[in-house]
Amino acid sequence: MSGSPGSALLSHCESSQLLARPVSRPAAPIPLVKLVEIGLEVIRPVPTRILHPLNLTIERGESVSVVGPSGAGKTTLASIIGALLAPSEGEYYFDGELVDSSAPTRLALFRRDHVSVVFQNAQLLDERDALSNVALGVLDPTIEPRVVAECCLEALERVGLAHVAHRPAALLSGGERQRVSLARALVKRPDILIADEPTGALDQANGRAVLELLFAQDTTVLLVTHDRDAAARADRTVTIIDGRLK
Amino acid sequence: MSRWTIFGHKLRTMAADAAMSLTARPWRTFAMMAGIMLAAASATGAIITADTQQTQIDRRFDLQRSKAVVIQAQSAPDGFDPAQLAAIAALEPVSAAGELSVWADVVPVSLNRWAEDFNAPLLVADKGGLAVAASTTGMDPQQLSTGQPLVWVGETLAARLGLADLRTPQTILVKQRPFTVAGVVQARPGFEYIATSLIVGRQSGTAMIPAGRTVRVIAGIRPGAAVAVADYALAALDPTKTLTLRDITPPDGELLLGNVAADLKLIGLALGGFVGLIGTITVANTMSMSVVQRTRELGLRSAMGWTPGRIRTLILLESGASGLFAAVIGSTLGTAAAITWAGINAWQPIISKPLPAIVILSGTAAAIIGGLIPAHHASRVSPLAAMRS
Repeated sequence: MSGSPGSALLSHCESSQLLARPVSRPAAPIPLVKLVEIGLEVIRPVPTRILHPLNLTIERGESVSVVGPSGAGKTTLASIIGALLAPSEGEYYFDGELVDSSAPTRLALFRRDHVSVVFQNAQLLDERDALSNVALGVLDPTIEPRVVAECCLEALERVGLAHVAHRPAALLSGGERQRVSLARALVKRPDILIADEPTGALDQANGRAVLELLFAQDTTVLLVTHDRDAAARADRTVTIIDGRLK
Repeated sequence: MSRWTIFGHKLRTMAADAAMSLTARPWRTFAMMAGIMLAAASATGAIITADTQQTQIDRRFDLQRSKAVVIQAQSAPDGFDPAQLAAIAALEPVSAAGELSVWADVVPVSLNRWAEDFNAPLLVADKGGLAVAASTTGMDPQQLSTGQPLVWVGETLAARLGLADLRTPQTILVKQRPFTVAGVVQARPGFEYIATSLIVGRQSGTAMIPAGRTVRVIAGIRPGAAVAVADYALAALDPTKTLTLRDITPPDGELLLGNVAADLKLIGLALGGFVGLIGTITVANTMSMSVVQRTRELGLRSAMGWTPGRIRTLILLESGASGLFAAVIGSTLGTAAAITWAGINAWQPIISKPLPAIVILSGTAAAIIGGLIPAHHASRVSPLAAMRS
């Protein structure tokens, strides 16, 4: 695979507006993610407790895997950390600041500024080429389109797919699609990268390649998986069963 | 980077995104555009046809309904031949004929040297011309041809000057020259400007201003005779064609059969509006289906940090852009069809200048309105939709 993470090809984008986005970093070590008695109960169609109040911290730069049986609440937990879902109780601190989940727009802005997600099925727009799909991940209007295009290409190079930049996503293989998805997630240099079963639809070789890329990133990673081997690559593993952290 | 530059980037990115979404599903886009396109085409075609038809109808009816023929000369320094004017007046459908020229748009007039000056148009007329345009009190208008300093005053102007009682002769100053007020005139319909004017004979007029602004002959006729009288008058007044005469007989709204073409236009607009409504519903329906089909994509955008407002804007941009293109195409098709129809009938098509802009704006607005509800639904798609699919 050409283009390994952290290689010199990032030099341009690292000095560009895209990657020079300021991130507030407190002087004292504060966990990047701190969940305090976070829980989720839905009322409709019937009142159901999905996540019991739990506490969890994730340090900046740490990789954490979440494992557990189907329906245990892994994706729900990841969704709350990724601000895809608002908890019904508890407090969520990100980089020391309380995450305001009172309105969808606030959550969207939080996702835009801090979070990238890699989905199980890559979730590419099939009619668009790989480069356009990666560009979907950049929403900062202060970055010039030319810089966006260059950095998206470099992100594709990072995952070894610069040669398919202009190929429609529909024509990419499963492994390639997932790597494009990873490039889309990486291009904005998120504070936290959430991967929900990223290897679930891939064969062993492609799955391994994606995991190597995932864990080689210089960012905080939260991996949701059934795969114990994949989970073992993370710095730490948490297990969730019936909506409770074990 | 300035706020406008950022706005420009944002708009360009969103527009490119919307364009990609529209071109990625051409048949869906075409289906969405069809209703607006038909509405724009039918409204444009109907309005242009109605305007063209109206001109044709007006041209035919104007000459039928007029109660006066007006012939204007480029210049006639010596006036018109009294014998020819008499010949026109002697025609069976003609009640009276003579000169009624606007000699000057404004001349100063006052009761005396110390009184306030008023400005009034100065007309030059003879008895026949005055008889067509007004009824008179006071002296016999035949006196207009005697060359005496006599003036007839329009009733509105007379009231302003305070000329109430004309039983004793009164004098007024016109351009500082004394004129005896010979009478007051009441304008007939179509000649309302006479009410505020001064009317003198040609000799008096020429003495003050050598050449008048317009030189006209008018003939009072019975409705339906305008064409024949105008043709005769043109030939009789200027057999050698040196006066450059023009028939400028004005339309008379009184006798018209009602404005048939206005009804046609109304029908066209109603048709366009009805089809436009269907177009709006089509856009709403197609966009709603599209939002459902694109739940995964919209969820993905949301998961990546697109705010509900931005997603809403994307959908409205898509519907607006499709409406804009549909309206442009529809307006062009409608115009082409109307021009073809006019060409078949050997008519000059009448195309109102603001019509294309109005149709295009309306079509775009209709499409945006159609996209409002789908855009609202799209903005509520959960980011989890991408994770679940």
